[in-house]
Amino acid sequence: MRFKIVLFSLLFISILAAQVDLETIISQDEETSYPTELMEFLQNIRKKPVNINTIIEEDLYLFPWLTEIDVKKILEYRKSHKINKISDLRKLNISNKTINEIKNYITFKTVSRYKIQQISRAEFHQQKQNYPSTLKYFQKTILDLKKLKIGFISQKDEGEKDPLDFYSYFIEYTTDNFLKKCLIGKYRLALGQGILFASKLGTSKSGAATSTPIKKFHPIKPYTSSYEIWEMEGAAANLRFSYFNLIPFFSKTSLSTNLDTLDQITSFNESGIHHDENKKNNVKEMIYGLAAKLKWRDHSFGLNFANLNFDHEFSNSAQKSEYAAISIDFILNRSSYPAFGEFACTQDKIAGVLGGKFGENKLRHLLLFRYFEKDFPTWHGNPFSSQSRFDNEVGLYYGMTIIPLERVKINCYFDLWSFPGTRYFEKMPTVGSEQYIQVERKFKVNSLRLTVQHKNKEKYISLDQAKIRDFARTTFKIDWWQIITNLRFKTRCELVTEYLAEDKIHESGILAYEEIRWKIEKFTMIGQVTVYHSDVLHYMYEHNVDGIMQNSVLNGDGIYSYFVFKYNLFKSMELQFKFSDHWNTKDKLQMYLQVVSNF
Amino acid sequence: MKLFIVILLLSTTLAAIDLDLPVSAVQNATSTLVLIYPSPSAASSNPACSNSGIESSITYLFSMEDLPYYNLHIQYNYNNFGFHLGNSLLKHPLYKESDNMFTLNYNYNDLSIGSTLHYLYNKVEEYHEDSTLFADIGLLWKNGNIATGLSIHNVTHSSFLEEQLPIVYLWESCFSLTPKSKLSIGFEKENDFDFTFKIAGRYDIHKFLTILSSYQYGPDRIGIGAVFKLKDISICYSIRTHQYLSLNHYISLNYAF
Repeated sequence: MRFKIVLFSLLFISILAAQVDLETIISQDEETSYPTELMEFLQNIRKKPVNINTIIEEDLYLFPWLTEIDVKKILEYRKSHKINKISDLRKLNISNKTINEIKNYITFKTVSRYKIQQISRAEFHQQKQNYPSTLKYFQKTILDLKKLKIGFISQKDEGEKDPLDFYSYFIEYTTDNFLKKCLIGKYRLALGQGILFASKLGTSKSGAATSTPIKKFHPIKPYTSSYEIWEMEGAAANLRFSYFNLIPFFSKTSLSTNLDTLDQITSFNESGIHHDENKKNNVKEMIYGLAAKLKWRDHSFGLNFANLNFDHEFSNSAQKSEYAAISIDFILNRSSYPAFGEFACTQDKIAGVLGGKFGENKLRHLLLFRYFEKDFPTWHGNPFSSQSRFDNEVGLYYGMTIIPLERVKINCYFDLWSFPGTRYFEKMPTVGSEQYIQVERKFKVNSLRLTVQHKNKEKYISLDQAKIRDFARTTFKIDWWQIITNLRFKTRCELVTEYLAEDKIHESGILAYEEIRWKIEKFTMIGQVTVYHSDVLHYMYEHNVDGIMQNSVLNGDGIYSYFVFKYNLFKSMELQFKFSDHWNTKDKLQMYLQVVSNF
Repeated sequence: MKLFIVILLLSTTLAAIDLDLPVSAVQNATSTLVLIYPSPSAASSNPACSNSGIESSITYLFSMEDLPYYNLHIQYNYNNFGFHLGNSLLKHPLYKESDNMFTLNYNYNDLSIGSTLHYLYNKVEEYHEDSTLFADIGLLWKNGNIATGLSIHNVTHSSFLEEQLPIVYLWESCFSLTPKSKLSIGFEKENDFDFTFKIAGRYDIHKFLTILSSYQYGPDRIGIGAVFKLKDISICYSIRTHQYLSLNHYISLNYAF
């Protein structure tokens, strides 16, 4: 206890920290606790920065801070010049703010394509200490041999006996000729705006109000996530014929589901926890299909077809166990995304996303309309929507990015949606809305951010309630980042209120934390102490060892702290350790030990 | 749904119910923020606005074909004075409402003031028929890239069918961020109701085409519109959401002189 008090006092001596913009982009999702593809991409290239002169166009678009116009400028400049230094980027009128954000991820030197990445991680959660096999293990090995990439990932959760309870493997072959890419093993598929296929881990809305809602991905990618579901297993390829790209894919995999007495699927087990071997991989899924992409000038068009088959029926008769799906997608003028969209249909259901982006650097707008019919298959898709199961939704999103002054940035979005069909709890159509305003003021070194988020949903509180309740949740956040030599501090004060208008029930909570990041030569330490007093849930992004995304959920009264230590043993090897604990709650200690090697 | 709207209309006047009807396609797109895109009908919201021209608009409220809503507005400026005549007409077999207005505005350098006199007539078949007069006042101040307007509707505290018509306070500020982009923010406060917050954006893609978009909080609405211009003539088409009803499509024809 004394140790904790000392640390607590130390942390509160001064004020706060870093990675402002990365957190803005990846920390919004309140439900996901797994790293998104974007996070994985950024963590990888932070360790091994990419050469700005050779990075492919699709990867450049993944940088969340680069606008489409910035990407176009870089691509144009690269055709006739080599980018040798930061000042070359300034010549292209890329803002200093953007350059500061991307500079840690890029290099101007030739990067060796021969790489080995190895991550080994062990986790201990005190709450699960009585499980027969207490520790959770994860390991990832990726061998990058210029054109050939070979990888193996495995994971075992607490209580699981099989050390290879989950595994992923792949061989990826990339060339410059007509066979652009060939992938064998486990992979993920993403097409268009993600209605039929997309990476399931990714946010739709964030503080980057005019860029996050647009889905941009590589069509096929090895499955490197530790999330134990949604992977496809088989083979896929990307064949290039001049302006055309053809992507044939085949997958035959097993899924863990909950079955009813008639052996019909009631739900999928998305937790990845397999304590009951009988419920593990008890349903087979087969997918085959073909996607055709045409890239013409600055535009792209896609036509996608897939046939999906489960070997069990669904208990919800509206969901088919076998269906074919087709979609068309387009992006007109990729350099500014003025119009993009995807329209998909199965035998009897339709879905669509249509968006447009317009404006200038000082004022950018994004409008996005979506329509997803009830019981449209959502299993492999992840388009823009207000919820992860996206069917039965109609909505309109309006995002704005305003730069009224040189160091001030305002991001706001307004999203309105309705669920026109009934849902499990809601036996009538319901509506919802969300408003988000974030004002960021950068000072010379430090920065300040104010965030207001308001969500309003109509919902039933319980099944026996006949009335729809108006539920509103409002969050106010103030963040202050401060850098003092090699110490970076972050202070947050958060106030959350929840209001049930029908019953005039009003609940609220406050949370405050102090985070410190200290880097000295080979050693990095991130520590945070959070104090909360609340009747409602607070969702808090926290730092972790690489490859883990964590959104803590806090409520009640208490103090929560975590510390992450990273030490570079050798040039290419880093040892990472984290422990977290709730001070006045028993059995909540968590520990992570990880070794990250990049050769 | 139609029945729901008609019952609402029968129960009160348009100005008093939550239908929030804009008088033109531009105002439909901008959530009735009028400084962001000048049009002759702007005087109906802020009497200090004097954008000369003639503007005709039509919509079928919430896409219901038996609820047409017509608008005609003319603004003429002479020296420092401006004159505006306008009519808004909602026609249903059972319900008719007409709002005739006359506005006088005066411009002095960067400051404009104005006042509108309304003659509101309302008839519900076999139920009631009534009319009333009421007035609005407005103030507009331009300073470089910022324009700010304030208006108060029904300053006369007039009543209709023995009930007082709402008194509405509107404030709007419009910022020209670049020659092509404008941003407007505003608040609306009606007595006995909460504040309504509004934000609208304008982007001139081309001299022939302008995109307008807006959001209103309380009640929640998103408006989107496109203005096609050919010399002095412009056509605006816009849509605006309603969380429970269908989209409100609007079209306006505007001739500026």
